[in-house]
Order: sequence, then C-alpha cells, then structure tokens
Amino acid sequence: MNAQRIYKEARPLFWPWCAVLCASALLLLHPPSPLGEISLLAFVPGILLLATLPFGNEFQNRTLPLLLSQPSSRMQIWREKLSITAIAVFTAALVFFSCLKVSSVHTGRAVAVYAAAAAIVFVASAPFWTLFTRSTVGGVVLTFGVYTFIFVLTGQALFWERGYSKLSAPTFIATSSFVFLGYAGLMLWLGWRKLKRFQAIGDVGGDDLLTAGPDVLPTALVGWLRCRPTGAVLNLIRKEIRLLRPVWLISLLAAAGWACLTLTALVHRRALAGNFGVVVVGVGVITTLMIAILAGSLSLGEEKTSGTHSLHLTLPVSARRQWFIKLFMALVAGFSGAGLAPLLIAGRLMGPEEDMNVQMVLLAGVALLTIAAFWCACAVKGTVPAVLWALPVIIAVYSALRLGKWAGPALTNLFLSRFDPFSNVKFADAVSRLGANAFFRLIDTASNNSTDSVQAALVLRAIILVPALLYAVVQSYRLFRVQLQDRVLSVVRSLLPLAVIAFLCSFASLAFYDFVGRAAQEVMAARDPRGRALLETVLALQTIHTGVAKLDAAHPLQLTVEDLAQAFPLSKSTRRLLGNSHITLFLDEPPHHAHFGCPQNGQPVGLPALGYSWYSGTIPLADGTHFFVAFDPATHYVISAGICAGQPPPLPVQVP
Amino acid sequence: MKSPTVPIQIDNLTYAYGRQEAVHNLSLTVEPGRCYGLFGRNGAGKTTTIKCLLNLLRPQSGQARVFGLDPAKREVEVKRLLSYVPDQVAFYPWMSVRETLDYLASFRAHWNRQTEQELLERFQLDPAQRTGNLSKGQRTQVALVAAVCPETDLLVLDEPTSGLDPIVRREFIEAVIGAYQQGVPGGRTILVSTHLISEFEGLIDEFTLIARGRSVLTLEADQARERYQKIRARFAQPPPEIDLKAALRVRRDGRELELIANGSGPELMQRLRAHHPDELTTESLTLEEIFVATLKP
Amino acid sequence: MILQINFKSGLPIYLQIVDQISAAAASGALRPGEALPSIRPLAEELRVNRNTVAKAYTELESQGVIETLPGRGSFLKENQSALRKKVRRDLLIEHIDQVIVQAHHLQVPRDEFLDLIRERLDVLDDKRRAHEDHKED
Repeated sequence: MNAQRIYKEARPLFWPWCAVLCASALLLLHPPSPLGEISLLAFVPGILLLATLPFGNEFQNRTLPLLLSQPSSRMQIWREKLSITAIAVFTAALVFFSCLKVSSVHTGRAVAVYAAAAAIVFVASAPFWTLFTRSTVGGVVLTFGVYTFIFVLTGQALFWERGYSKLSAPTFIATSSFVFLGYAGLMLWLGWRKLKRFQAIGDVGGDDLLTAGPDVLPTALVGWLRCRPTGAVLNLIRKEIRLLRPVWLISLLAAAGWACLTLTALVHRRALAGNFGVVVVGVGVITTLMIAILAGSLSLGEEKTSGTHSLHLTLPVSARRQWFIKLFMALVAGFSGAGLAPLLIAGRLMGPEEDMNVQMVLLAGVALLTIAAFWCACAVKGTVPAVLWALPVIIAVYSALRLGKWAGPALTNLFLSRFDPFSNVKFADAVSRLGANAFFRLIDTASNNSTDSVQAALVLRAIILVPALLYAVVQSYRLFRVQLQDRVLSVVRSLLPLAVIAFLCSFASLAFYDFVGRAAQEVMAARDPRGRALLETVLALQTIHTGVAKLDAAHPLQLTVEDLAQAFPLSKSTRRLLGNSHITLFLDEPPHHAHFGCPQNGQPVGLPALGYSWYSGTIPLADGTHFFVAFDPATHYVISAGICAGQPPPLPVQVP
Repeated sequence: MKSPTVPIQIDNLTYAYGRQEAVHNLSLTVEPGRCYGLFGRNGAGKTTTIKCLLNLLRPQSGQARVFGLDPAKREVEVKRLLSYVPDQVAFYPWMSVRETLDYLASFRAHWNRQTEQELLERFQLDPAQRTGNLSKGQRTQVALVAAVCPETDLLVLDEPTSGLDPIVRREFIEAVIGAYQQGVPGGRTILVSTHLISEFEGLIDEFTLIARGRSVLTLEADQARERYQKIRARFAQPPPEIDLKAALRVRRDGRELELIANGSGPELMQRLRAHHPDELTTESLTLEEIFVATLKP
Repeated sequence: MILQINFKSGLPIYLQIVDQISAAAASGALRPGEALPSIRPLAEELRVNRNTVAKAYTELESQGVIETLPGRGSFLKENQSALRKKVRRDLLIEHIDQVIVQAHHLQVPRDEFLDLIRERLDVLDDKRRAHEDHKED
C-alpha cells in the first residue's frame, strides 16, 4: 500500500479524527467545565463516524464501482480500509482514555466499558452496516443502534442474572467482553462476505437508504402520500414527509427503546441506578442529538446531492415557500422524533420539579439543533457534510456567547476604572433606574444559584440568542436559493456574521447589566456614607479572597485595613470608618446562619435561602456596628453585603 | 397567449465564478416563434447564460429579460412562462413516472393531458415504473414530457441529448417538433443549448456561437449555410502561390486544395479559376462544420 | 413521397422542400388533386422546424402549385394556372440563371450544356410516360 493510497483513505477521516482529539483535550480543562461533559458525549459519535466514513465516502461520491474496477483484489481493499480505520479509531481512543484518566471528570465503570467496547465494535461492524445500507447515514444509525441494543441487553441480562449489588467488576467485564468480541468477530466476517459479493447495481449512491426498507405503511396512508396533479403546497409537504422517512423510522426505533427502558424502570426501580443508568441516559442523549440533527439536514442534503434541489429552483414556485415548508417539516420531525418520545415516555422516570427543567432544556436543545442542522444543510452540499458541520457551528456560536459574557463586564470594568462617570451621583441615579426591568431581574435570578436559576439561565440564554437565531433563519433562506461553491471558507464566511451577532448580543446585555449594577451600587453608596465604605470594602475583599485557597470555619482569613488598602484604593472617609478593625473571612454553612445577613434581622428581604456553604466576612466598624459580606465560593461573586447594627456575631470556632 | 415583447433579450451579460469569467458581454435576442441555438464548446458559458435566465445565477452586470420580465425580480412569473429541460435530469427515485408527472403538474396552471398520454405512448414509457429504475434516456424523455405538457410559450433545452443513444435522440427531436411546436407559427419559441449540432441542424432558425464566454458569431441558419462554403480544387500540377487570404481555412495536399470561405466564396472561386484547375467544386457547410471551422484553434 | 434535405447544398431548407415538391409535381410522382403530407408529420420525418415546412407550403401556395383547404390539408393543384404563369416563368428563369452560373463554375461549355438540357428533358419525358403506362396496366 503506497503513500498515495494511504493518503486517499486517510483524507476523509482527518477532520473527525481531529474533532475527537479536540474533545479529548477539552477533558483536560481545569476547572472542569460543562465542555468536559460534552466531550464525553462527542467521543462515541466521533469514532462512529471514523468507523463508517471509509466505506460511506465511497457511496457518497459514487466511487465504489471505480474502486472495485481497479486492479487490486477485494481482500486488499478490505484490509486497507480496515487498517486505516483501526489506526484512526485506536489512536483517538488511546488519546481519549489517557486524557480521561488524567482529568478530573468522574465516570463510572459502565461508561468506560461502553466507550472502550464501542471503539472495538464500531471498527468491526461499521463496514458491514455501511455496505448493507449503502450510505454513511444508514451505516452510522445501524452500527450505533445495534451496538447499543446489545449493550443494554447484556447489561440487563447480567442484572437479572446476578442482581445489581452483587455485580462484580471482573464478571461484568468478562461476560461483556465475550459478548462484544463475539459480535465484533461476527460482523467482521459478515462484512468481508458482503464486500466479496458486492454487486454495483443501479445507482451506487446514497439513494438506497431512501428507497430501502420495507413498505410497511397501510394503503390508506400510502394513498394520501401520493402526489396529486393539483395542490402544489400539499405536494411539497407530501414530498418532505417522504424524504424524511429515515428520520421517522429511527424515531420509531428510538421510541421503542425508550418504552422498553421505561417499562424496565417501572418494574424494577433499581434497574437503572448507578453508572448503568448514566450510560442509558448518555445513549438517550446521543440518540436525541442524532435525530434532531438528522431531521434538520436530511431532506435538503439529499435533495442537493441528487439534483432535485436544482430542479425545484426552476419550477414556478417561489423559493421562499419551498424553504419555509422545508424548515417547518424539519422542525416537526425534530420535535416529534427527538422531543416527544423521551418526554412522554421517559418523563415518567423523573420527579415533577426536575421535569419542567428537563423538558425545557430538551425542547430548546432540539429546536436549536434542528435549526443549526438546517442552516448547515443550506450552507453546504450533502447530508453528511451538513451533519459534520452542525456541532462546530453550534460550538462556534456558543463560544461567541461566552466570549461576550466575559468581555462585557471586563470592558465595563475597564471603562469605569478609567473614566469613573459615576462620581456624578445624578447620572448614576438616572442610570440605575434603567435597571428596573424584567430582563435585568432575569439576569439576577440566573446568576444567583437558586433553584429557579437554572430555568432563568436557560430563558436568558434563549433571549440573548434570539437575534442570532433570527439572522440564521434569514440567512438560511438566502443560502437556500443560491448555488454554492462548496468550500470550507464559504461556510466560515457565512458563519462569521452569525457569531458576531451572538457575541454582540451577549456582550451588550451583560456589559449594560454590569454598568447599571455598578451605577446602582454607587447610588446606594452615595445615599449612605457608610454605603460607600461598604462598597469599597466589598470590592477590596473580592479582589483579595479570589486568590485565596479554601477557607473553613477552623481556618479563617484574618485581614487588616492595610491589606484591604493594598488590594483596593480606599477613600479617606472609609478609612476613618474602618479605623483599626480586624476583618475575618471564613466558610459558613447552613444551618448555622440559616439565613445570612444581620443577626438581628430575620430573613433579609429579597434574598433566597441558600442550600450550600458560602464565605462569610465580618468587618467591625469603629462606631460599634459592623459590615457583613457573603461570597459564593465557586464563582467568587458577592451574594449580599450589608450594614448591621451591633457587634458581629461570635464565630463558630474560636480564633486562637 | 401572446406577449408583446421578445421571449429572450440578453444585453451585455457578464458573469464570473470568482475570478474566472464565464460569460462576458454577451448579447442576443430571440424572436418569438423561432428556434434559437446556443452553440459552444464545453465550458464556453452556455449553461451559465441559461442559468441567468432562470435566476439560478445573478449576473454581475448586464441584464437578461424573459418576455420583458426580470428573472431576479419576477421570478415565479418568469418560470411560469417557460419550461426547462436540464442537462442533468434528476427525479425522486421512489416516485413512479405517473406520480412524477402529477407532482410537476401541480405547479402548473395548465397541463395538456392528451399530449401527455400521446407522448407516453410514443416513448413507450410505463407510467407505473419508478424513475429510479429508468435509463438515462427514459428519464430525459420524462423530463421532456413534463416540459411540453404545460404548453408554455418558451422551451429552454440545456444539452438535452448528450449521453443518449441515436434513436432516443431522434425521438426527442421529433417529439419537440411534433408536440411542442403547435398552433400559431409565432407562438412557441425554443432555445437550445448544445454541442451536438448535427441533430438540431434542421430545427435551428438562428444561432449564436459562444467561445470563452463571448459571442463569436450570430447568424440565421440559412444565411450561414449560404455564406460558408467549402471549395475544393484539383490542379494538373501543384499550383503556384495563390492569394487565398480571404479564406477562413486552407488545406493543401499535393495537387489538391481545400478552402473554407466565409462569404468570399465567389471571389476565391474566381482566383482559383484563373489557374485553370482540373476540377472545382463547391458545397455549403453544415452548422456543425461551421462550428468546427470557427472554433477550432 | 420521400423528400431529402441536403444541408450542404447552400439552399435554404424551405426552398429545397419547395423545389422537391415542384419537381415531384412536374415528373408526375405527385398527381393533381393528390394530398400532400401534412406539415407536422413531414416536419417530424425530416427533423426540420415546423415553421420551415409551413413556410415552404405557403410559398408553394403563393406559386399556385398547391392549394390548402382548411381542415382537410394541402392538395396539388391542376397543372394549368394561367394567373400564375408569369410567376412561374420568373421562378424558372431564376433557376435557369443559377444553373447557368453553376455550369460556368464547373467549366461546362455552352454546347455541351444545351445538349445536357435536352438529355435531361428526354429522361423526364420517359419517366412520365413510364408512370402513365404503369397507371394503365
């Protein structure tokens, strides 16, 4: 096998391979961010693609007859493709698992087994399934589906056999290895047989997935789905329904899977406990992702490859109508396939309070994925490229949002420290009044870590995303009707304005919020001379304690006014008020201060009760009153601060 | 339905793919009722021009008008007034012929069922057959049926017969003549873009030759055949140098001389006769030979 | 009646059709009152633009060679048509001039040319006589 052949085989695998490596790199992020969890989810689809692309690409480009007519035996072709696949998958898996070991992300045994076995089984079974369905999409779906089915079945069988609590690691691993290796061996043999006997009938392209499969529809439905000579819009809808057939089939299978799981869980509560449950949930999430992305990109992708898209652009129907019908049907397919089944069926597994959150996250996620996949399908040519672009596009927009979230307050800080416009109290007052709107209250709720905050954060992100989403939808229409040069650069060029808009929205909202917040702080400081002192003290403490290691009640941090002055320039009036006070900062937790704030007050108005620990700081003043401050230990933001009458309360532990 | 304006009017059309100019300052007019040929080598810009008419591409400068309408602004109306047979015919493989025709009929206000029936019989197409199982020629025939039945005033054919066997090619042209050209002579207009010129020789009234995006020659077919002549002369001895600069091409072979003349036929004949050839014949060039003579480097 | 279009002759297509039909009429292959093929099948057979065939038929009609009855088709007219005699004479003169020029090009001298014409007329007469004999049988 010479260098050119190696290059030709390895080329389509390059980007997915890089993607898996990036995902592994994300695991190494410290502190563990949600991106780490994403990378876990990205590993399985990543190696799935790596395993199916070698053969899938031949079908996509219709080059299989060309390959099979070259002067090399089928055994050689088989060996070449398998070895490239194996090298790619195993190196990626090696990197991934080493990163996993090194990182601080927790995974259970079952997850690790699932992923490791997946690497081996995918390499062995993907060629067969891809050859069977004659397309990449079909290969991906069946490889993943059958493997998961066997995995879950094995897990359940072992559970019923041994009982979960008595399930010892060696037995589990031994039995599952036996099952998986056996399956892998069988698939390897079947795949080789399939290639040996492969006949290039008809159009050896991706059409076959759309026509393959049994015609199981009842005749009445078939009758309705036939196109009529009148009623163009209905015909377009019928055509969409037919094009989305793979999505309907996969959704049905997934729904069946969910139903089985729910039944098992209802029958025996502990069946899905622990790590096995994590695997199941993970698989469920991956399935939902795949269905949503497929629903968005399948119809337009297949039409672009087969040429019927160009045909439709020459018909006397407005492109806007066609585009709208496609988008609408994609959303319908996405919601019904990826959203409904888990919600209706598996929703029973969750408790009622979590239900609302999970439902919202699910629906929002499905909508976002479908629209992103649709946008990608408009921007590139073909289903598989569209699917491959969907996640990078989403990650790009998400990163833009996060960048804006960081840049907004940073810029405001910079601006305020340079220009200090709030020394004019009237201006500060006017600005602070702008904060009395629902949007800012939403941001407040989202950032204060209460039970509502998750929901509020979601709603906030959704609202900030709206302009970018609208732009994406409009842009997809423009991309729909243009005949594109399929190049990475053109997609990036289309993506850029989208990312910029997301960045600007996030940046503007948070910068403004920060701006108004600081104005409000200044107003409060101006009203009460002690207020300014409190503000400066709080800022100083925030700067100091951010760099400090963990505190607790037994090891409080003692600071003097000089330490504060070093961290933050204190004004003369503040120094006078503070005098020679000793500031104590320590870890507090419920129910010691079941509320937090001044001990004389009950629950301070407007502050939610915390369910976890926080840093408490008390600053005794020269006139006998004291300040209190509370910081969030994880984000270092101020939860609340105030002025209390009387002496500070005694510490939980006496300071030596 | 007659329109007062010309079916196709293209003025100074320019289109570039990136930096590569595909069409440069192209102008042509198609009068109603004519069959207009767009000839050129592969990659000359024929398909690009047609795509500009259908608003599949937006020209960088110049304009294209279909029945006086701008395809970019009045897109749906323009598409209603014409029907199109593309070079790569693509249908949904799971739809039968019947269903495909029904589907395409739903976009048209008018559809002649009788013509459809006749054409299906003539082409011997089974309506229940799935389009995915048809051969390339049969798919082109279905595309032609779908283009003829709406009975539009303009038919645009883009390389319709490339890749088809000779019998299917003939049937295609006969169907265009028979089924499409109906009614008042000025009613139906055809624009054909092709490089298989010999097939369409009899059909073309007027043509434009395009090379590298530029229009090289625009003539009526009869005029062209009159003007371009191939003159053969045979002498007793190899002739001395004759002033043949007026000829388009000259080929010498010992005592024989073959010239291709572009309008200067009589003059060249006179000059040759002055040298007393043994034999002197003249015949006209077919459109395909004109194509080769003009465009061959 | 079998027509043939020669794209190399330099003659406009419709004129070729006109000529061939006129020749057929003159030689008796087409009899007076006989129907001509309708425009559509003729155009399909020759693979020629229908408008061209229509134009040829219009020309033939204006020359008085054929007449078109609406709904029934075109028929060959009787040979005698005094009204159009001058037109026909003029057309023939045109053709004769063309042939003379051609003969000059092909370097056929005058006497040989005239002999050739007589020869061709004889051949045509023979053919017509053969047709009529055949009809009587």
